[in-house]
Amino acid sequence: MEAGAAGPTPGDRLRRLGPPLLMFLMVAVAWEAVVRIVHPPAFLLPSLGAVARRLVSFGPQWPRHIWATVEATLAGFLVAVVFGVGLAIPIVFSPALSRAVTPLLVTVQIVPKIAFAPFFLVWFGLGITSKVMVAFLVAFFPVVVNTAIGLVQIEPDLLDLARSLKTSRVWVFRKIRFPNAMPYIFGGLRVASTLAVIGAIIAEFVGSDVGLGYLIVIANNQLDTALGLAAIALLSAFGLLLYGGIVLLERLAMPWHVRESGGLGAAA
Amino acid sequence: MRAVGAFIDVEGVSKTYTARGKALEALEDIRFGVGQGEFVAIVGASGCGKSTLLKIVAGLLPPSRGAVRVEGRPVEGPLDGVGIVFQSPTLLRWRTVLGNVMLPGEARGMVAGPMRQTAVDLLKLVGLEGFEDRYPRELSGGMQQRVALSRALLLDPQMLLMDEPFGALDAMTREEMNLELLRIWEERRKTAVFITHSIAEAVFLADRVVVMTPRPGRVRDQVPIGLPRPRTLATRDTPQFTAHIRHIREQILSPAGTDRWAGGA
Repeated sequence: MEAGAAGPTPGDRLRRLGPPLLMFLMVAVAWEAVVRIVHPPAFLLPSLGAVARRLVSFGPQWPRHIWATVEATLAGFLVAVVFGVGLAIPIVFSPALSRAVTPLLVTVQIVPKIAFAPFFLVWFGLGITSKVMVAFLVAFFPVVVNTAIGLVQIEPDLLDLARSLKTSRVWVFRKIRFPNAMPYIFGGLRVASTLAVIGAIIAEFVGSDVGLGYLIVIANNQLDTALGLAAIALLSAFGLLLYGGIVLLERLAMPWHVRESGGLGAAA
Repeated sequence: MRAVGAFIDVEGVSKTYTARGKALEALEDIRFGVGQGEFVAIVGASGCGKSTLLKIVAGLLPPSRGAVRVEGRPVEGPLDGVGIVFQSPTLLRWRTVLGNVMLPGEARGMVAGPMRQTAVDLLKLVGLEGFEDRYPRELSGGMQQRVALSRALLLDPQMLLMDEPFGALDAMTREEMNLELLRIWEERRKTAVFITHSIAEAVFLADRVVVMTPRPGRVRDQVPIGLPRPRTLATRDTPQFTAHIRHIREQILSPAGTDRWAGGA
């Protein structure tokens, strides 16, 4: 009888984390080496130290820019989740709706939705609304598509079992179809979370007066590359936190689920 | 051979599918009966419509012609009082072993307390005491099918329908599961219909073997198996056992009108 896998020991953890940490370190060293040997102008490539100093010196001005981007991203993401899951459920249960909506969904899937960002600016103005709309638009599709796939991907025997239990469709949905779709839904949420960050940033590039994306454009115009890179570092940290939060939520919601993990090499 | 007034009566059941505008006959005029408490195995090559037949008996699929009666009443929808075990364990992987066994009760809105005790007792019966709180992925294939069997028995059904439940298991686990199934069946005495493509498995388990031939699926023969019970591994070494197997294999390989047989696929 197989037992569950034992937890990783500290030694295992070090062996797992060691190589990737070493790679990060090597990139940092290479960066510093280029700066020290080639001496490029600071607007082309500032040193890591210069970026860190700019991060600190900009200090009190960060929060409102960070919050603006975080707010737009989270709002866009949440709206995408609510509407995405909310649309997938009727699509799966109504063949007529599915026939009507699926071609449109597939078509819009192909359209580079980011390209709509300038129009959103025109339609919704400089404020948060246009940012939320762009974040929503790019994050929406992976949620709908993954949820719909998850709700349909079900063992036929499982459906026969459900029918033999002679229970209501609602019960089957709550107890079987929806939990069965959860790994797919969370897969969609992971993708959507990274896309929502991109959507919010692009909207800020196109037109905004606050936010990390706005700051990157300004820094670029002023050749303050260190500030731009510092903003990107914070943006990455936020993206990572959001993704990590979803992974955490996934673990809490599905303790029974084991996601295949491993490097790119594991997929080969 | 058809038992008149049997517990389950399959009366001239045919099933025709339409694929690309062509009618495809999966089952043709199937007739047999299953007595109360009897163990009937249905054996045949893949594609002979065995699984379709089981679904029709369970009321999950309507026949194109003919009817199934259980205790004289025609089956018109999913049956009450039937436990089904499928080829795959069909466990809900987000539920513990105990939660899976209790599923049919929950679907009927039964009181959790007494049902829980029934589920615990059933898990003990199938040899999974102590595994109540495990998740399906932590169990081997054989253990998962034991859970599926417990689930099928939860509502104390009058009949147990099994669709190649051990087909995906390795040969040794399969033999072990056959013995377990007989032990449980002898204890609970359910009317049992067991689908398999293994002649040896059918002969070992059943009181009677219904032999089917494919395209369209037809009943070729019904073979009473007189082997004494309880059956053990030694039963497999008896001359009667071997003789039954030889007879059934001949029925499957050379049905009347040999031209009809076109391979096992």
